[in-house]
Amino acid sequence: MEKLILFELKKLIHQRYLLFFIGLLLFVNVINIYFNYDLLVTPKETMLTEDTVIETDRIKLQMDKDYMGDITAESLAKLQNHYNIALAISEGKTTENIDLYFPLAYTDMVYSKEIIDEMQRLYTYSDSIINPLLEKNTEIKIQAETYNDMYSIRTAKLIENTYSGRDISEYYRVNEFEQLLTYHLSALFVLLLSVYCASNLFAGEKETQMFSLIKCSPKGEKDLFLAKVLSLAAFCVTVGVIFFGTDLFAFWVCRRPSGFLLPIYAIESFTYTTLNISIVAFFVLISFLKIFGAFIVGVAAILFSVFFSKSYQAFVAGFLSVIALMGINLFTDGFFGIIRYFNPVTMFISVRLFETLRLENLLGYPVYMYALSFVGTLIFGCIFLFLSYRLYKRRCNNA
Amino acid sequence: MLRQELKKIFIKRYFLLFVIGVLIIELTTCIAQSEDSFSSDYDKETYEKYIAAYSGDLTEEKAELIALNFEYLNNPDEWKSKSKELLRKGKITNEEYNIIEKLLQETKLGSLGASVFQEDYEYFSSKTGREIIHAKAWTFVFGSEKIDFFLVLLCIVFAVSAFVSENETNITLMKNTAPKGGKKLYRKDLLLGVSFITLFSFVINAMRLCVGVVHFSVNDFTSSLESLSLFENTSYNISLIEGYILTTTIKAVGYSAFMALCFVLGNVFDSAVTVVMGGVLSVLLPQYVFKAPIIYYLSPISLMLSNGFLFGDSVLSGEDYGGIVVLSVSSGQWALPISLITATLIFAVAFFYVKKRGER
Repeated sequence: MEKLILFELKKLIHQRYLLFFIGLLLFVNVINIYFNYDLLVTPKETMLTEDTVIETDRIKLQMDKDYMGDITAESLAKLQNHYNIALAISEGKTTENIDLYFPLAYTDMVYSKEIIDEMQRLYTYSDSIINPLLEKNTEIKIQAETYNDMYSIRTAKLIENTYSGRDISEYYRVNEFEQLLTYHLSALFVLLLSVYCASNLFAGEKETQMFSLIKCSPKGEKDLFLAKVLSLAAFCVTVGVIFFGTDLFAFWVCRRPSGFLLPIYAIESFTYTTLNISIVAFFVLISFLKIFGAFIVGVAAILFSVFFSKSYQAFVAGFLSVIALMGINLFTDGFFGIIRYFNPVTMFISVRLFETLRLENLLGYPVYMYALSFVGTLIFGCIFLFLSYRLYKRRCNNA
Repeated sequence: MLRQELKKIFIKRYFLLFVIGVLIIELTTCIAQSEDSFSSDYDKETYEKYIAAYSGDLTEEKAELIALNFEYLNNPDEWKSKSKELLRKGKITNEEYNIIEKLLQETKLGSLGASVFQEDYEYFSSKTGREIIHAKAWTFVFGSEKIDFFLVLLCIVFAVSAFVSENETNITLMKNTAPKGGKKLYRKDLLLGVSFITLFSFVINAMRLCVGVVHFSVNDFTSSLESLSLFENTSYNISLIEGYILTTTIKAVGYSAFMALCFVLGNVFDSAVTVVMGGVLSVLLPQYVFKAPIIYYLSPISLMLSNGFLFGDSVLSGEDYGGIVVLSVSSGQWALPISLITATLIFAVAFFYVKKRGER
């Protein structure tokens, strides 16, 4: 069986022009990241006259480096002092000489304030966000116990276990990770390649007249079908790792984020996330979900590949179904529409599911939406796999 | 021979279904978009009442009437108490008072429609020469500044059915050796594809116009193009219908250039699925990844978007204005000629491949 899987994978990779498309899309992806996200290439903010342009991002990078690391009362006080002096200089209230980062004291003051606010947000995360949340949760739990509302009691317990003990004590350029986490172009490319390969899996055999031979072979039915599906899975994983690995590297070069091992809730938009993992672990999780989504869409394309006798017909049908799935996600009412749970495209925007606490009431038990989405997508994939196999078996029997 | 070629394409099981499917989807999308133009039927009714009452040239008399109407609109409670006062003093009859009450009630229901008219009127009255038109209808008719993706897919599928599949089944060799085959036949194939997609593009755009006319009861075809805020800075002194015909023609040229591009791809890549992938990427990548102006003008995309050519020169350099990124203020007028040159080059390359294919 392993040999058959490897053989199918080899056949998949040796498709004409596949490597060309992978290379092309990888190149396009990197170029897109460079031109749209690179600190030194993207349009800069200018706070001065037309004559002088200041590379604010580059200087801000330097400022961040000087204050990165443990957040202490001393570092905050030092930065606050810098800010106060810069403010006084910009208002003309003092002629004190300090080492400014920017030529203009006003700009220095603005960006010092930004860093102070960010450091304070991280430093007081536990006191200003988590503790009040847990206090409110305790009140809700007491009330729920009074009314014997089991769902609310369970939810309160879940919140308590999830958010307790959270603390952030370091300052790094974590908000730069948000652009990496919400970057979806590479995932779309992986999806497109998955549909491209899946459409060739069975229809390609029919085009090359190999299908009649396959039908007659002893391993023609179940084993070969399984081998093709697993080879598609292996392909999706390989291509996904290449693309998302490239994204991580490209964003690190272009945006210079830091604090990979900081918890995910250090990023401002993930303040209320239910995950207590590091940023890099979260990126791996999101990448896995995207690869999983691409594979499930590929499974749907396998059905078209079995149905149609030409691979281009299967590809067009697969592509149209991707557009339909995206449309379903956009136009179903409210984010909590049940149909979204079964839509594999939800895996591509799964980062939104983790941003905050999103629960569904399943028979009195609180269930995370991302868990429901994952299971729904799995069910979607299983249904399409079953349908594909049944159709494939029928085609094989119609000798 | 042409009839045979056409029959060969349309006899394919799924192609006809696909064409019918595209037509149905286009019609459904048109109707759905036209329904979405107003938030409610009351708003649509109110807006159209204003258009019916005031459409056409903006005279002084009309302007005065509209101003009075807006005063009435913006202060309904004041008017209610004024009309009560007038009724009490015997200056208006009960019947007149009821009419005013009814109007106020209708205005309240269709207040959004009335305020949309107010906004449109601010645009109409801001410059002489503009006429009061059904702006919502014409905005719908001219359509969104996005490529019609189903038409793109139709081009690709037609190209694959007509040209590429012949490579895969070695029909090309047979065609080249036939007495009536060779270059002449491939030229006819290419022209057939171009004609088909041109006709289809015209049909889709005509359908859009028909839906607009029927749904919005549009009749101000001869009003100036500048009356529509979309074409605020246009340098073309033409009517709305002339503008629509021009954009439709430009779109048809764009899609036929894209068909020629698919023909070229079909000769470069022998595999049908690769041509489909290549065709899809050639549209997706410039629109969603490379948004640089030069890419638009070096591909048929600028023609497929078409509305931007009528926007005029007064747009900022590099501004993404309705899907067309104008190169610079001074070269806005060159946008259309450059795009047409690109389309001509694509056709030239396609004819080169016709020759090459005939020599295989």
